[in-house]
Amino acid sequence: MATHLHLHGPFSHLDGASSAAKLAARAASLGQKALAITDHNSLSGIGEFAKACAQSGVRPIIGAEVTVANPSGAPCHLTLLAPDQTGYRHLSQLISAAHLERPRGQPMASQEALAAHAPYLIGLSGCRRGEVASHLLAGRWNQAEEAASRLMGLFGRGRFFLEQEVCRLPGDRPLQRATRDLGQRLRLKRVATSNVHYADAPDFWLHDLLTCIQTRSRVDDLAPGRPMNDWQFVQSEADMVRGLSDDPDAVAMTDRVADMCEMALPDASQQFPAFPLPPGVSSARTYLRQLTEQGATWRYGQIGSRLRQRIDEELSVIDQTQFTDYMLAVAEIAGWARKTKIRTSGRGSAADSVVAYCLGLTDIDALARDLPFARFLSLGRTDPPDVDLDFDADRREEVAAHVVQRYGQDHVAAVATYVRLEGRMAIREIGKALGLPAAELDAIAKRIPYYVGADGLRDALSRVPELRQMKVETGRIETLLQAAERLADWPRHLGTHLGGLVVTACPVAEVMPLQMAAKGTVLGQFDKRDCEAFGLIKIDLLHLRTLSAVDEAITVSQVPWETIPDDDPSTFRRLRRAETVGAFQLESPAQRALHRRMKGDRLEDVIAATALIRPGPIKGDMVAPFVRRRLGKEAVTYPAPGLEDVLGRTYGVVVYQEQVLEIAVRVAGFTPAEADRLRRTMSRARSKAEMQSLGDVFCARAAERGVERKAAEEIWQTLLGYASYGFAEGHAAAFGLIGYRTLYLLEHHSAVWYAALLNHQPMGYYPPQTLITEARRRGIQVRLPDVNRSEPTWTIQDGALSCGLLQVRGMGTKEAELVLANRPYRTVWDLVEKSRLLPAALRQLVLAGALDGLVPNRRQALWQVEGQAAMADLADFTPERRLSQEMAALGLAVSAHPLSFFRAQLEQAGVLRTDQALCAPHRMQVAVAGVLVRPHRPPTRSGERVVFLCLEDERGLCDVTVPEAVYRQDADAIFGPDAWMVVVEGTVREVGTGASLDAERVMALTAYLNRSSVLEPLGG
Amino acid sequence: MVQVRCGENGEPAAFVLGQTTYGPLWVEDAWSYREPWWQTDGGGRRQIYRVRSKAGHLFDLCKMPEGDWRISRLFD
Repeated sequence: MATHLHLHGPFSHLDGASSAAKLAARAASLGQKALAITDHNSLSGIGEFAKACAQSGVRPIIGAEVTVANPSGAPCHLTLLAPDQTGYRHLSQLISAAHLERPRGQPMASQEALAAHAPYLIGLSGCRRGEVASHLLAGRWNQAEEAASRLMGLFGRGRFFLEQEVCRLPGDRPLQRATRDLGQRLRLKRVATSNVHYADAPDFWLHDLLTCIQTRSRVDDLAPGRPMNDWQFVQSEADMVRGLSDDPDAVAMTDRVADMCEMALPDASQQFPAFPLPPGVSSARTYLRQLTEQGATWRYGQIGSRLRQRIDEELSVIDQTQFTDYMLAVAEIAGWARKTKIRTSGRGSAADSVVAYCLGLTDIDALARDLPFARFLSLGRTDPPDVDLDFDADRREEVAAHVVQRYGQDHVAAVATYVRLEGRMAIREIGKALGLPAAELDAIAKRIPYYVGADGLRDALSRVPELRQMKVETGRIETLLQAAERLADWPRHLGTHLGGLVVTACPVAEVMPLQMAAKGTVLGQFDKRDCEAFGLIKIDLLHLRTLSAVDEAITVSQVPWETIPDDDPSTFRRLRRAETVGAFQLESPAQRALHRRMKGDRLEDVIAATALIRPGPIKGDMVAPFVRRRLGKEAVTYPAPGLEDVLGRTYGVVVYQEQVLEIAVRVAGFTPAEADRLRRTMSRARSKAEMQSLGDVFCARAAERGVERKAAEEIWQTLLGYASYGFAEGHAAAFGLIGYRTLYLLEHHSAVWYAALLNHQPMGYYPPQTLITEARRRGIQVRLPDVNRSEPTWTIQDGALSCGLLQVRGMGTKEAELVLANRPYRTVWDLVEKSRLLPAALRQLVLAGALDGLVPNRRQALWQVEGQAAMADLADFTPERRLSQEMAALGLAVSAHPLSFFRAQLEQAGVLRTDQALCAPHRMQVAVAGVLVRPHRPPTRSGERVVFLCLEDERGLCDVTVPEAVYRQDADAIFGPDAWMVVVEGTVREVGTGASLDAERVMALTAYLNRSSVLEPLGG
Repeated sequence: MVQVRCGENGEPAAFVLGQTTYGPLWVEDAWSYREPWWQTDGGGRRQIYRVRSKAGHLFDLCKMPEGDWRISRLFD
């Protein structure tokens, strides 16, 4: 049997057209016992490959095709295999060297790096781009011989082989004969390969298409690098022998090389570095106990017996699962951040740990909330614990730099994300390769909902109304759809995980290859799942812009953040009115609708609300019962006796992940580790069969404990409803606390909080324009920038929210400093002379209104910044034109709301303002005008396509629900390229203390009023 | 169209052109070419053999997707 030793999978990024599963299955179907993976300068695919091979009963061989500097010409390819784990470490280091030595160019390992690692690897001379083959093809026999001899010297005799490609390309036969002759002369064995890029010949077209994307060519172009035939697949032994009739022994040799390689996957378990202990401390375990007890005294005052027992239990599990050093490391990072005055906050399941609370990793008292530690960590669990630390977004990089400085650059790397081909990307990239017009592709892509995968495009094109209305050419679109279906979720390139860092005792490059990320950080080639699978411990150092805004707001307002009262009556009144725009986690339409109904009056309500508006509780239909029971309109019942203390706080409704765990333990006798596995599987399970199988296990285990089958099934159905993404209670408590406190700032220091929010965009649910409107609605004056008064950022001046100079297009820090340094300015000439700003920046300042204090007439000011004398009779722009220019210069409408220019006409037409509509009686027919804010089509369980949007006008927001029939009819007004200001006709629906609108018609405002406007949407 | 006789390995061993039979043939090179898959009638595979006759002449013999043979190129 032949073994394929040179094979490219999806992680050769646009040079491998079959999945690992398909490649392994093909090899198995041909009776091949082993299969190698040799992606281009990457080991990212080895996790998927090893799993696929295991499923097909094929032995995986780990390798890579590495680009190496060529002493006598262009960089060349070399096929390298890891014979064992030592070989793997060297291969990983060599690939790292190839990337890190050329951080900006194509990866290329130096000859020195190759020489250092080759003795631990098996080398194949490579494809036609290999050094030996390229010399032979050019007839440079002596140089070919010299190269082969040199490589044999590096790898050692018996570990270097000449590669005989069987790809049926022009020149194959002469090359094969020359390679054979060279091998015989040097006594070097040859191995046959077919340089596999797809599993079988029918997948050739996908490889060709990917090559077109890679080379930025179209299928109709003759582009170098495109494959000319379909022979680069997993060929049978017979096919290989037929294609290599001049050197058939090279086929048999493949099996002997395969036998030299054992499975060589990385093993990073126990690789987390030992925490450096202070003098006099005997062990990490002792030190963690010391720190925990110190923290317990700080948090609780004294350590009572219940607290002592809980700490002992937690420390014991941490010790037995060998995460003591990890806990010390994250505690040190959080402590360093606090010492350095970097705002930090912990969340995730760490909030279920009292030890984490005592170490200052979280601010949630897990003991007081009686949170189960098992959600964080338990004996028998194989996955690492999850400590998510949020930092002030502006300073998160300082924290990452501290970790690098503490453990050493060689021991720290960012975790990768595999950016995969999704719907919009597929339309653009595949469509371009097929030669479809770019404008047409762009129009389609923009209308594809964000959640549509590449394999969901066909359905989207047939069902999304605004796409259906488009006239698309069907022939190549069909090819596009077929390709997208095959390439759905294909890894496109590596990205950087939001905050994950791996820290290792050995150099990271021995475990996973490293490369440079675009922003200059060192990036590992594994994503978080592969890191976890190979035993790498990830530390999550996340950035949260809210914390940056908090830091700014409390500095200005001098509010002590940690001691904000959690029972402030006016803050809760604001919550019940659902006037929460700008509050962390509490501002979305769904949250506002919930608060109108729930009438929350305590922090616990905020925490529950944070967890309720998640896919799990929403799809499980748990929100409505929760609200009814919270209001006493429905009796509180429990799915089984004995669950009162588990579900009591949430009125018998499953809201938190911990409750799922606890029910599995109590009802079905699961161990904490088993229960957590159940939770994880439930949240990832995709098929009904998989869920059914889980349910059978649950019911069987429950029956063993004497629970009746019917009762067990009912409980399972309750849990099943939760089978999607939900929050851990500790996580919800952490977020809920921040949410409540930001609502407090919004209530008592609104102008300061709005300024802080505007200074840290993008963040939150709403665009900055909505924040401006909300501020104005609350009676806060909002001022345009002013060259004589404004600071670089948004500030409060005389109680007014004052626009910063940096908000003006073309104004950077340097320009703002020039303006500030040369104040005051008495005339435009004065500004021009003293600031020395470029004309483009001056023009933008004029259009933004920053010179209104010098010359109120902006047209005249424009002439003056151009060096022309003032003209007294030159009329200013019309108010509508002024606002249009201001919006272009600021990205915001500050001096007026765009709707105000239509208000008189709207009133004549009987169209209401949002505040009027919200006060209208239930079921009243109304028409309301506004700017569209965040129209979106979330996936729904029923499959119905409902659009949710907000209308924003001078007075605030109105939430609108657009049913599928209306969406089908008016999709273009909502999602079309010119969608912006609209009039919605519909029915008022009372929701608790507020109202929303059920749309029956959505029309463009200009069409409704039959008039034109110079105003254009922001960013349009 | 040309009549080609293949050997056991499936490669051309001789061919008849007009009244003349050329053979035995020595396969100097062999490759295949895939026709444009994105065209409606595309997608077939052509197999090309560069052969040398006993008399030393070079020919390119092409096996078309439909199975018939052509001489696509002739060297002399």
